[in-house]
Amino acid sequence: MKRSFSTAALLVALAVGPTPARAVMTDANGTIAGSLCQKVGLPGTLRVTADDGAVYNHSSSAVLTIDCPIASAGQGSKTLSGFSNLWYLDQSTSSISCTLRAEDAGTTAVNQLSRSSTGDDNGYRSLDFGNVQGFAGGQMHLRCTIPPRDAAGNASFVISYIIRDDGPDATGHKLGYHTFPGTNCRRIGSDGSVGFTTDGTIFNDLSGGNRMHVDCPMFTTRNGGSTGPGTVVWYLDDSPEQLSCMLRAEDAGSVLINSVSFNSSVNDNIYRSASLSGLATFNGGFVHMHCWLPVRDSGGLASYVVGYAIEPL
Amino acid sequence: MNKRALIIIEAIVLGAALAPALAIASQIVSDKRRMTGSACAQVSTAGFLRITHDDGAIFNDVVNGNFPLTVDCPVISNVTPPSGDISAAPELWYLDHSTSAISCVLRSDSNDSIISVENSATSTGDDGNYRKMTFTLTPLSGGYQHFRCTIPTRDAAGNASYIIGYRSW
Repeated sequence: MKRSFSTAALLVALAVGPTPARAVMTDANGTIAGSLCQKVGLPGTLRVTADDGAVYNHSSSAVLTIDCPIASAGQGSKTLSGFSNLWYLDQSTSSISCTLRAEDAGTTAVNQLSRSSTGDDNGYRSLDFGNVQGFAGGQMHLRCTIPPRDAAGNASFVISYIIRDDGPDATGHKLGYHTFPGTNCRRIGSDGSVGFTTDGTIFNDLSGGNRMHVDCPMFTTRNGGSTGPGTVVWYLDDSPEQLSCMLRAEDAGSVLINSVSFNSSVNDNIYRSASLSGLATFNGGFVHMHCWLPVRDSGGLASYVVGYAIEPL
Repeated sequence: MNKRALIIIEAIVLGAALAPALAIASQIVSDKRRMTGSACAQVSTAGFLRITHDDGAIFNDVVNGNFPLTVDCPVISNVTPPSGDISAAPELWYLDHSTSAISCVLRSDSNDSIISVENSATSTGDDGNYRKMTFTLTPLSGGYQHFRCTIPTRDAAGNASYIIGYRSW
């Protein structure tokens, strides 16, 4: 009888086996130093501290706006209260103000929550960004303003942040799937001028010259394998010139390279996505995306990289 | 059905039941979050940060002078980093092609940065070979990790040194 019971228990275990593997969570979230944040617009002076990777406004007169990209699980879940925080040190007369923006993939809908710092002292505190409803496949980012130094020269700092929107996978994506907004891209070379929109996209803010070349980092957790069907770039192509992106995989020594590319010449005002799946990656290597953003057209219309996602297989 | 056959069947059933969980647990334990150097940000105003046009590496685009570039390279740090897993030791890949070395510190900070631990490493080379630094650090649970590196200027012949990418938990 004992053995029969054991067998039955095993069959029950088989039946419920996948459930405890909450591990179908996409494993996308993480705590990030403020140094991943990028400056938005011209006022203020973004500086990274020499020790803890925090960012602050070095200006003594102008307000600095930054955008802090989030590696989102893109499950359409709510952010977890108590586990979704931005840590700061407020030493200025004015507050640090931050808005968590959860955008849908096409940035046509947004859920957001704004918080402001308290303090003006030496106390390290955090802002809670829980209970913000995300969108399946959408992007998240924090948009913050940091006041200038006070009369005594004291600055305010964004130290680190984490937004947890992970959960049991609802979209069928593989472990390690995550999305980033376009504000995680960085300019290469000197062509173009970076513009970041409020909804987290990146565009070339010039009306003449060459296309702006940007590098959009992402993290990889798996060893080798190909990118899955969830690997996409979202964009809006509203310029006559071509918008192009290339997902690149390199080995750790940058010797071996694989890539998949897409080019868009639709020139309309419609949000689209392009697949970047099927890219063979290297064991121990890296994956990142390059894009080339055209200048504004004669009517001032620009093209945008809205966001991107990687799904390891 | 004899006892041996029953045991074999049970083993198969047990294996099937546990396989998904074990496989996923294994993936999490071996989780190493790798990013290209392009995620790094310049610290202070000395040096000139450039991203390469191809592999997402970064370098100091100042020619031959005492203007080292300091960068901070954020990690999307695991909520619960694995502990005691040597195979997941943090690493940073580089190409040292300058007279001076690339120096890096891996820091783990509590989320408010009040507490921190760190480990340092220095490049070797001055040639065309890709190498990696390995770090030994027990990260602070619930905190964040980031690399802090100084990259020398190009040498007299114009050769630059590069941070290709890095990984941590």
